[in-house]
Amino acid sequence: MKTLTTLILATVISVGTAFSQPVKDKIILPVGITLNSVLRLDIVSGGAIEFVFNNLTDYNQGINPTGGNTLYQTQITVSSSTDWDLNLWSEGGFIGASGKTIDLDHLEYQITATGSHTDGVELTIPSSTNRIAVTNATVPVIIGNDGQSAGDDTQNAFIIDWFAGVTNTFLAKNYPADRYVANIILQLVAK
Amino acid sequence: MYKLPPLVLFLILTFELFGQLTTSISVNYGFGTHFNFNTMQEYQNGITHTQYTQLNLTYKHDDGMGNPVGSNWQLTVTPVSVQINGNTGTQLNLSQIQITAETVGGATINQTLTNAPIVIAQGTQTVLEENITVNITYSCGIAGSLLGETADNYLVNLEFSLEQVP
Repeated sequence: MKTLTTLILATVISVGTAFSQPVKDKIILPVGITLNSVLRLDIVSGGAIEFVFNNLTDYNQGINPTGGNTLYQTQITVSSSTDWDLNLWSEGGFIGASGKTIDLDHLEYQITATGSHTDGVELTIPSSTNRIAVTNATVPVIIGNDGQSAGDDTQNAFIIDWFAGVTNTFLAKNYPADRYVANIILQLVAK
Repeated sequence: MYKLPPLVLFLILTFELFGQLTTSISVNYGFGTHFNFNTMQEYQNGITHTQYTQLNLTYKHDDGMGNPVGSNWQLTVTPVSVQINGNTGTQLNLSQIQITAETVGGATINQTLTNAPIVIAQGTQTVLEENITVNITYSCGIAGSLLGETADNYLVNLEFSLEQVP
Protein backbone atom coordinates (compact mmCIF):
# COMPACT_ATOMS: atom_id res chain seq x y z
CA MET A 1 0.00 0.00 0.00
CA LYS A 2 2.77 2.39 0.93
CA THR A 3 4.70 1.49 -2.17
CA LEU A 4 1.70 2.15 -4.35
CA THR A 5 1.05 5.49 -2.68
CA THR A 6 4.64 6.57 -3.10
CA LEU A 7 4.58 5.51 -6.74
CA ILE A 8 1.44 7.50 -7.46
CA LEU A 9 2.76 10.55 -5.65
CA ALA A 10 6.04 10.40 -7.55
CA THR A 11 4.20 10.05 -10.83
CA VAL A 12 1.91 12.99 -10.18
CA ILE A 13 4.79 15.21 -9.06
CA SER A 14 6.87 14.18 -12.03
CA VAL A 15 4.04 14.94 -14.41
CA GLY A 16 3.53 18.29 -12.73
CA THR A 17 7.19 19.12 -13.04
CA ALA A 18 7.29 18.06 -16.64
CA PHE A 19 4.39 20.37 -17.47
CA SER A 20 5.79 23.32 -15.56
CA GLN A 21 7.22 26.08 -17.74
CA PRO A 22 9.82 28.78 -17.32
CA VAL A 23 8.33 32.12 -16.38
CA LYS A 24 11.19 34.08 -17.90
CA ASP A 25 12.91 33.31 -21.16
CA LYS A 26 16.23 34.78 -22.23
CA ILE A 27 18.39 34.94 -25.30
CA ILE A 28 21.79 36.52 -25.78
CA LEU A 29 22.69 38.41 -28.95
CA PRO A 30 26.23 39.72 -29.58
CA VAL A 31 26.87 43.25 -30.82
CA GLY A 32 30.33 43.88 -32.29
CA ILE A 33 32.01 47.16 -33.19
CA THR A 34 35.12 47.44 -35.33
CA LEU A 35 36.84 50.82 -35.31
CA ASN A 36 39.26 51.08 -38.21
CA SER A 37 41.66 53.99 -37.97
CA VAL A 38 41.17 56.92 -40.34
CA LEU A 39 44.32 59.04 -40.73
CA ARG A 40 44.70 61.37 -43.71
CA LEU A 41 46.84 64.43 -44.43
CA ASP A 42 45.93 66.51 -47.48
CA ILE A 43 48.01 69.26 -49.04
CA VAL A 44 45.29 71.58 -50.31
CA SER A 45 47.67 74.10 -51.89
CA GLY A 46 51.25 75.26 -51.72
CA GLY A 47 52.93 71.95 -52.26
CA ALA A 48 56.03 73.76 -53.54
CA ILE A 49 57.19 77.16 -52.36
CA GLU A 50 59.66 79.28 -54.28
CA PHE A 51 61.45 82.28 -52.75
CA VAL A 52 63.20 84.54 -55.24
CA PHE A 53 65.71 87.11 -53.94
CA ASN A 54 66.05 89.94 -56.46
CA ASN A 55 67.02 93.03 -54.53
CA LEU A 56 68.89 94.19 -51.47
CA THR A 57 65.71 94.66 -49.50
CA ASP A 58 65.05 90.94 -49.87
CA TYR A 59 68.63 90.21 -48.78
CA ASN A 60 68.39 92.65 -45.86
CA GLN A 61 64.95 91.80 -44.56
CA GLY A 62 64.17 88.48 -46.13
CA ILE A 63 60.86 87.54 -47.65
CA ASN A 64 58.29 88.00 -44.95
CA PRO A 65 54.70 87.10 -45.88
CA THR A 66 53.28 88.22 -42.53
CA GLY A 67 49.65 89.11 -43.08
CA GLY A 68 49.17 86.33 -45.53
CA ASN A 69 50.55 85.81 -48.99
CA THR A 70 49.37 82.71 -50.76
CA LEU A 71 52.62 82.52 -52.70
CA TYR A 72 54.34 81.52 -49.49
CA GLN A 73 51.60 79.48 -47.87
CA THR A 74 50.87 75.79 -47.64
CA GLN A 75 47.31 74.84 -46.79
CA ILE A 76 46.81 71.46 -45.22
CA THR A 77 43.95 69.50 -43.68
CA VAL A 78 43.91 66.50 -41.39
CA SER A 79 41.16 63.92 -41.05
CA SER A 80 41.68 61.55 -38.18
CA SER A 81 39.49 59.23 -36.12
CA THR A 82 41.94 59.40 -33.22
CA ASP A 83 44.10 62.03 -31.61
CA TRP A 84 47.12 62.94 -33.74
CA ASP A 85 50.33 64.93 -34.01
CA LEU A 86 51.92 66.54 -37.05
CA ASN A 87 55.70 66.42 -37.27
CA LEU A 88 57.88 68.54 -39.54
CA TRP A 89 61.53 68.35 -40.53
CA SER A 90 63.83 68.89 -43.47
CA GLU A 91 65.02 65.84 -45.33
CA GLY A 92 68.43 67.49 -45.75
CA GLY A 93 69.89 70.96 -46.07
CA PHE A 94 69.38 73.46 -48.87
CA ILE A 95 71.39 72.23 -51.82
CA GLY A 96 72.08 74.29 -54.93
CA ALA A 97 72.40 73.05 -58.48
CA SER A 98 76.13 73.61 -58.16
CA GLY A 99 76.24 71.38 -55.11
CA LYS A 100 76.73 74.31 -52.76
CA THR A 101 74.62 74.44 -49.61
CA ILE A 102 73.10 77.18 -47.46
CA ASP A 103 72.03 77.03 -43.83
CA LEU A 104 68.67 75.44 -43.17
CA ASP A 105 67.69 77.95 -40.51
CA HIS A 106 67.13 80.63 -43.13
CA LEU A 107 63.78 78.96 -43.57
CA GLU A 108 61.12 79.52 -40.90
CA TYR A 109 57.47 78.65 -40.57
CA GLN A 110 54.44 79.76 -38.63
CA ILE A 111 51.24 77.71 -38.41
CA THR A 112 47.70 79.03 -38.02
CA ALA A 113 44.63 76.91 -37.38
CA THR A 114 41.81 77.88 -39.77
CA GLY A 115 39.34 75.13 -38.90
CA SER A 116 37.09 74.85 -35.88
CA HIS A 117 39.84 73.15 -33.87
CA THR A 118 41.95 75.89 -32.40
CA ASP A 119 45.27 76.41 -30.71
CA GLY A 120 45.01 76.10 -26.96
CA VAL A 121 41.79 74.13 -27.00
CA GLU A 122 41.87 71.03 -29.18
CA LEU A 123 45.43 71.59 -30.35
CA THR A 124 48.76 72.97 -29.26
CA ILE A 125 50.68 74.85 -31.97
CA PRO A 126 54.09 76.04 -30.76
CA SER A 127 54.54 78.34 -33.78
CA SER A 128 51.12 79.98 -33.58
CA THR A 129 52.53 83.25 -32.27
CA ASN A 130 56.14 83.19 -33.43
CA ARG A 131 58.26 81.90 -36.28
CA ILE A 132 60.31 78.75 -35.77
CA ALA A 133 63.30 77.74 -37.90
CA VAL A 134 63.22 74.47 -39.79
CA THR A 135 65.73 71.82 -38.66
CA ASN A 136 66.69 68.29 -39.60
CA ALA A 137 65.24 67.03 -36.35
CA THR A 138 61.70 65.74 -36.18
CA VAL A 139 59.64 68.39 -34.44
CA PRO A 140 55.95 68.17 -33.50
CA VAL A 141 54.52 71.33 -35.00
CA ILE A 142 50.87 70.58 -34.25
CA ILE A 143 50.12 68.59 -31.13
CA GLY A 144 46.68 67.09 -30.68
CA ASN A 145 45.39 67.55 -27.16
CA ASP A 146 44.15 64.33 -25.55
CA GLY A 147 40.60 63.50 -26.46
CA GLN A 148 40.23 66.68 -28.51
CA SER A 149 42.01 66.61 -31.84
CA ALA A 150 40.19 63.86 -33.75
CA GLY A 151 38.04 65.31 -36.45
CA ASP A 152 37.57 65.96 -40.13
CA ASP A 153 39.11 68.40 -42.61
CA THR A 154 36.77 71.23 -41.61
CA GLN A 155 37.87 70.93 -38.01
CA ASN A 156 41.56 70.33 -38.64
CA ALA A 157 42.55 72.88 -41.28
CA PHE A 158 45.79 74.88 -41.21
CA ILE A 159 47.90 77.39 -43.04
CA ILE A 160 51.67 77.17 -42.87
CA ASP A 161 53.30 80.51 -43.64
CA TRP A 162 56.89 80.16 -44.84
CA PHE A 163 59.57 82.78 -44.27
CA ALA A 164 63.04 82.96 -45.83
CA GLY A 165 65.99 85.04 -44.68
CA VAL A 166 63.99 87.02 -42.11
CA THR A 167 65.62 86.16 -38.78
CA ASN A 168 68.81 84.87 -40.33
CA THR A 169 69.29 87.14 -43.33
CA PHE A 170 71.14 86.25 -46.51
CA LEU A 171 73.11 89.44 -46.56
CA ALA A 172 76.87 89.00 -46.18
CA LYS A 173 76.57 85.25 -46.26
CA ASN A 174 78.48 85.14 -49.52
CA TYR A 175 76.32 82.34 -50.88
CA PRO A 176 76.81 81.86 -54.60
CA ALA A 177 73.77 82.80 -56.65
CA ASP A 178 71.92 79.59 -57.32
CA ARG A 179 68.59 77.83 -56.90
CA TYR A 180 68.66 76.03 -53.58
CA VAL A 181 66.16 73.32 -52.73
CA ALA A 182 65.18 71.56 -49.52
CA ASN A 183 62.51 68.92 -49.07
CA ILE A 184 60.32 69.51 -46.06
CA ILE A 185 58.61 66.44 -44.62
CA LEU A 186 55.20 66.60 -42.95
CA GLN A 187 54.36 63.48 -41.00
CA LEU A 188 50.94 62.74 -39.53
CA VAL A 189 51.08 60.41 -36.54
CA ALA A 190 48.15 58.82 -34.73
CA LYS A 191 48.46 58.83 -30.97
CA MET B 1 -6.82 1.98 -0.90
CA TYR B 2 -9.92 4.17 -0.95
CA LYS B 3 -7.86 7.14 0.19
CA LEU B 4 -5.85 7.25 -3.02
CA PRO B 5 -8.30 8.77 -5.53
CA PRO B 6 -9.01 11.89 -3.41
CA LEU B 7 -5.28 12.40 -2.91
CA VAL B 8 -4.58 12.22 -6.62
CA LEU B 9 -7.51 14.50 -7.37
CA PHE B 10 -6.25 17.01 -4.81
CA LEU B 11 -2.80 17.10 -6.30
CA ILE B 12 -4.09 17.52 -9.82
CA LEU B 13 -6.43 20.30 -8.75
CA THR B 14 -3.59 22.01 -6.95
CA PHE B 15 -1.55 22.11 -10.15
CA GLU B 16 -4.54 23.41 -12.08
CA LEU B 17 -5.37 26.12 -9.57
CA PHE B 18 -1.88 27.59 -9.69
CA GLY B 19 -2.14 28.10 -13.42
CA GLN B 20 0.82 28.39 -15.79
CA LEU B 21 3.00 31.22 -17.16
CA THR B 22 4.90 30.42 -20.29
CA THR B 23 7.29 32.79 -22.03
CA SER B 24 9.60 32.17 -24.93
CA ILE B 25 11.78 34.23 -27.26
CA SER B 26 12.94 33.07 -30.63
CA VAL B 27 15.04 34.87 -33.25
CA ASN B 28 13.43 34.99 -36.67
CA TYR B 29 16.55 36.59 -38.15
CA GLY B 30 19.51 38.76 -37.22
CA PHE B 31 21.34 36.85 -34.54
CA GLY B 32 23.35 39.86 -33.33
CA THR B 33 24.94 42.60 -35.38
CA HIS B 34 28.30 44.19 -36.16
CA PHE B 35 29.24 47.80 -36.85
CA ASN B 36 32.25 48.60 -39.05
CA PHE B 37 33.57 52.15 -38.85
CA ASN B 38 35.75 52.87 -41.88
CA THR B 39 35.16 56.50 -42.85
CA MET B 40 35.08 59.87 -41.17
CA GLN B 41 31.40 60.18 -42.07
CA GLU B 42 30.65 57.00 -40.13
CA TYR B 43 32.68 58.23 -37.18
CA GLN B 44 30.84 61.55 -37.17
CA ASN B 45 27.30 60.42 -37.92
CA GLY B 46 27.29 56.90 -36.54
CA ILE B 47 25.82 53.76 -38.09
CA THR B 48 22.28 52.40 -37.87
CA HIS B 49 21.23 48.87 -38.71
CA THR B 50 17.50 49.20 -39.24
CA GLN B 51 15.30 46.27 -38.23
CA TYR B 52 18.32 44.05 -38.21
CA THR B 53 16.92 41.54 -35.73
CA GLN B 54 13.39 40.20 -35.58
CA LEU B 55 12.24 38.47 -32.41
CA ASN B 56 9.14 36.39 -31.90
CA LEU B 57 7.77 36.51 -28.37
CA THR B 58 5.29 34.08 -26.92
CA TYR B 59 3.53 34.98 -23.70
CA LYS B 60 0.91 32.64 -22.26
CA HIS B 61 -0.50 33.21 -18.80
CA ASP B 62 -3.22 30.72 -17.96
CA ASP B 63 -5.42 31.19 -14.90
CA GLY B 64 -5.63 27.44 -14.54
CA MET B 65 -9.06 27.25 -16.13
CA GLY B 66 -7.88 27.94 -19.66
CA ASN B 67 -8.49 31.67 -19.48
CA PRO B 68 -5.94 34.49 -19.94
CA VAL B 69 -4.85 36.18 -16.72
CA GLY B 70 -4.46 39.52 -18.46
CA SER B 71 -1.10 40.18 -16.89
CA ASN B 72 1.46 42.67 -18.19
CA TRP B 73 4.60 41.52 -19.98
CA GLN B 74 7.84 43.27 -20.84
CA LEU B 75 10.90 42.67 -22.97
CA THR B 76 14.09 43.94 -21.39
CA VAL B 77 17.68 44.23 -22.58
CA THR B 78 20.60 43.92 -20.21
CA PRO B 79 24.24 44.15 -21.29
CA VAL B 80 26.21 41.23 -19.92
CA SER B 81 29.23 43.46 -19.23
CA VAL B 82 29.45 46.98 -17.81
CA GLN B 83 31.47 48.25 -20.78
CA ILE B 84 31.91 47.36 -24.43
CA ASN B 85 35.21 45.53 -24.29
CA GLY B 86 37.92 45.71 -26.95
CA ASN B 87 40.46 43.05 -27.80
CA THR B 88 43.39 45.01 -26.44
CA GLY B 89 41.92 46.07 -23.13
CA THR B 90 40.27 49.18 -24.49
CA GLN B 91 36.66 49.95 -23.64
CA LEU B 92 33.73 51.91 -24.98
CA ASN B 93 30.79 53.19 -22.98
CA LEU B 94 27.57 51.21 -23.25
CA SER B 95 25.81 54.47 -24.12
CA GLN B 96 27.38 54.27 -27.58
CA ILE B 97 24.67 51.78 -28.50
CA GLN B 98 20.97 52.58 -28.87
CA ILE B 99 18.25 50.04 -29.42
CA THR B 100 14.89 50.75 -30.98
CA ALA B 101 12.22 48.09 -30.67
CA GLU B 102 9.17 48.27 -32.91
CA THR B 103 6.40 45.97 -31.84
CA VAL B 104 4.32 45.04 -34.86
CA GLY B 105 0.96 46.68 -34.26
CA GLY B 106 2.28 48.34 -31.13
CA ALA B 107 4.58 51.00 -29.86
CA THR B 108 8.14 51.93 -30.76
CA ILE B 109 10.57 52.39 -27.91
CA ASN B 110 14.06 53.81 -28.23
CA GLN B 111 16.54 53.26 -25.45
CA THR B 112 20.23 53.84 -24.82
CA LEU B 113 22.12 50.99 -23.22
CA THR B 114 23.01 51.25 -19.55
CA ASN B 115 24.24 48.82 -16.94
CA ALA B 116 20.68 48.26 -15.74
CA PRO B 117 17.95 46.38 -17.60
CA ILE B 118 16.02 48.62 -19.98
CA VAL B 119 12.50 47.94 -21.17
CA ILE B 120 12.22 47.99 -24.96
CA ALA B 121 8.74 46.49 -25.42
CA GLN B 122 5.76 45.94 -23.19
CA GLY B 123 2.09 45.08 -23.30
CA THR B 124 -0.92 43.48 -21.64
CA GLN B 125 -2.09 39.97 -22.33
CA THR B 126 -5.45 40.00 -24.12
CA VAL B 127 -5.61 36.46 -25.43
CA LEU B 128 -4.48 33.25 -23.84
CA GLU B 129 -1.36 33.04 -25.96
CA GLU B 130 0.14 36.30 -27.12
CA ASN B 131 2.45 36.07 -30.12
CA ILE B 132 4.35 39.30 -30.57
CA THR B 133 6.78 40.20 -33.32
CA VAL B 134 9.44 42.77 -32.40
CA ASN B 135 11.81 44.39 -34.89
CA ILE B 136 15.08 45.55 -33.37
CA THR B 137 17.08 48.45 -34.80
CA TYR B 138 20.64 48.97 -33.55
CA SER B 139 22.50 52.28 -33.66
CA CYS B 140 26.08 52.99 -32.73
CA GLY B 141 27.91 56.30 -32.45
CA ILE B 142 24.75 58.39 -32.94
CA ALA B 143 24.28 59.91 -29.49
CA GLY B 144 28.01 60.27 -28.86
CA SER B 145 30.77 60.43 -31.44
CA LEU B 146 33.33 57.63 -31.60
CA LEU B 147 35.97 60.12 -32.77
CA GLY B 148 39.02 59.82 -30.59
CA GLU B 149 38.33 56.25 -29.54
CA THR B 150 41.04 53.66 -30.00
CA ALA B 151 40.86 51.54 -33.14
CA ASP B 152 40.02 48.01 -32.06
CA ASN B 153 37.43 45.24 -32.24
CA TYR B 154 34.82 45.61 -29.51
CA LEU B 155 32.07 43.28 -28.39
CA VAL B 156 29.19 43.30 -25.94
CA ASN B 157 26.61 40.58 -25.38
CA LEU B 158 23.03 41.70 -24.88
CA GLU B 159 20.60 39.62 -22.89
CA PHE B 160 16.99 39.91 -24.08
CA SER B 161 14.52 38.75 -21.47
CA LEU B 162 10.74 38.31 -21.67
CA GLU B 163 8.92 38.23 -18.37
CA GLN B 164 5.82 39.23 -16.49
CA VAL B 165 5.98 42.78 -15.18
CA PRO B 166 6.91 42.41 -11.51
